[in-house]
Amino acid sequence: MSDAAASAPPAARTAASSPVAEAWRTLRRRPDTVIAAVVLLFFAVMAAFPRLFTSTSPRTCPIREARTAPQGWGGDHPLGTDALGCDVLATLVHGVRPSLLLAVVVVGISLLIGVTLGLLAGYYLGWVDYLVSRAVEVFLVVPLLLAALLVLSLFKGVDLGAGTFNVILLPAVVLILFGWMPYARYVRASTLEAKNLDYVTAARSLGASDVRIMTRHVLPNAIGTVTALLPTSVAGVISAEAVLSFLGIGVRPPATSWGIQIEQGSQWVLGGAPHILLAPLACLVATVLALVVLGDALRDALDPRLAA
Amino acid sequence: MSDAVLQVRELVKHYPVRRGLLRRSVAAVKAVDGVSLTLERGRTLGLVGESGSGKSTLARMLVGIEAPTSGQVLVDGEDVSRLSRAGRKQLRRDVQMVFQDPYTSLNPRMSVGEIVGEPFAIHGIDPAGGRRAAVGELLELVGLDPDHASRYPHQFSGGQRQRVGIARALALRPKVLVCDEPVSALDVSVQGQVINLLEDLQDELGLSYLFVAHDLGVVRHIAHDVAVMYLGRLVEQGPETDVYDTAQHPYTQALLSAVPVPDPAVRLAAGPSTGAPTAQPGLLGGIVLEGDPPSPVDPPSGCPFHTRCWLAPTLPEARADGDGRAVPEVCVTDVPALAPRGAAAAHAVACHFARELVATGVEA
Repeated sequence: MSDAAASAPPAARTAASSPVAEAWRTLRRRPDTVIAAVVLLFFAVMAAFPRLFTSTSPRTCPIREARTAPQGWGGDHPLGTDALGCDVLATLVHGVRPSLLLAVVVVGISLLIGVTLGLLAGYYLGWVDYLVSRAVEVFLVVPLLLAALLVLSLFKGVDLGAGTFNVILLPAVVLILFGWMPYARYVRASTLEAKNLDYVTAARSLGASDVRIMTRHVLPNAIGTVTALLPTSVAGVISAEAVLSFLGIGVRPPATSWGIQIEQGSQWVLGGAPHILLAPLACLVATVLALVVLGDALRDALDPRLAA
Repeated sequence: MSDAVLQVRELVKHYPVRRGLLRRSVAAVKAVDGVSLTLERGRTLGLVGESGSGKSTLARMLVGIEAPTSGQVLVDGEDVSRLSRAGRKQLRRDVQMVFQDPYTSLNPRMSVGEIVGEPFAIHGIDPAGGRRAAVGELLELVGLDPDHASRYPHQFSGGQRQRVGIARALALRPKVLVCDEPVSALDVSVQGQVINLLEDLQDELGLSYLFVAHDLGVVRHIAHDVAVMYLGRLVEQGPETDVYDTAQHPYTQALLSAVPVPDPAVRLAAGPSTGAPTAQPGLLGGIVLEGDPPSPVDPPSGCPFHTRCWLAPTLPEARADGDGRAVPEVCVTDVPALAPRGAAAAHAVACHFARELVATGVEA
């Protein structure tokens, strides 16, 4: 093997290009990524402009039309009606915004908290690690429903208003409070592994500050395991919200969400109206699959070792 | 002292061994146990010893990755531990490290340009002509194409990666490079290229090297002076020719006798060795030490080498001790000082019987 400077490494491209441009090129070459992006874009547009997709209000629910079977495009109820006679398509379309917003807010903030605490605990160890690890254990052993009831009683009688954010505030607080621990544990473990690698020692011997070592060297190499966790967490949040709704602290009527729809629809699967469940479930599965594919592609694209 | 760029005085590093519920310190691993060294400007000091002898710990203390338990590190005559934080950061620029494994010492998510330029970012330095140009110059200095700055470490071979590591260490214009086994992870053919690069850089930039290695052949090639470590202490130290040609410590002799000789004709001509207990094929009268190095938690009393010394039982002063090994009493009771015991004043050895050893005519 020649070590001569002029000999080009085989995998290298001659053109110098930024990692972002490189990432974009890799993304574009994979058709499944494009499909996943289109799916997510579709739901994003639906969340922003629900009236583009349905003119029916999800709140007009004539009870005599309850559990109408799907009528296909052109009918009054393309996806049928639910147990109370509300239009399934309209409920679905209007439920996108609270569902996706809740998922993004909960996963985003939990991730931020978990990654920060896990990184600090794994890097400094000692009493920082002691506090964080004990906190993780405490929050892990408290059952979600018990905690939800506690929060519910705390906020009893507080009027939160009816804006989109106000509607998801309570479920968001509960789900964040009891959702950050897995991220902290994963990041702590991979920080422990990454911080003893030679390139971290090299940075330290150059005199780099702790903040610089953590953000530039440890975190980029420790975050990988967590990104694989994200798409399924989104699904988890959306379905957990349904359970909270059942207790009255989820998304509150008149607002609707996919979680509530799934929860209600599951009661009629064997009662002759499976469409009430299948419609929101299909949307949830499509969203999660799209996130999985996109997350995979993003991780590959940002890792220079895997860039072809 | 003539022109010492780096001095180490009685440097000690003990790692506490903690046991029990209260994490009490019950013992200490004596990784480095009182080492004094002097590295002169523009010269190379080779530090050799087997695994676990404390070479790497010593190297890590010199660049500030580990804090010494006691002792002093002097850079250009200034005691590092007495400086303020800012002063220490400044001084740290003068002593930089080249790592052993070029595959783990470069961050896989940073481009080569970012890696080599990071020292500038950490110390907030803006070299004349900009950082990009400075990175390009550094890459050129170590024999890499400056246009490759946007590539990532995985796109380079082991030898090229090690050049990147050297370029990063050179960015802050250090006076001393501490090389911790810089070539032991590389192919033999590539080893030579990296060694030659280091020698060229020394001539060009007036660098001083502390070259840690277990490959005695490589050390002989690059080092002006050699220090031999055993169990956290120096056992022999002196100019390269003295140590290699007239080794006075039995441990050094055992190490040297284990260097393979590639030419069978030379081995035949040398014949069976004279003073050494056993000879092995492929070696020039190999001295095979018995057993493993003792635990640095509880090193032997007196001379740390007396439990494995091949010379001690042959001495007339040897008395049988409890273990059934016959060693002179002084080896068990007194720690031999590292002092010149032969003709050359610069050649120091820590052995009570160095004179006898020379007299017996054992040559590795």
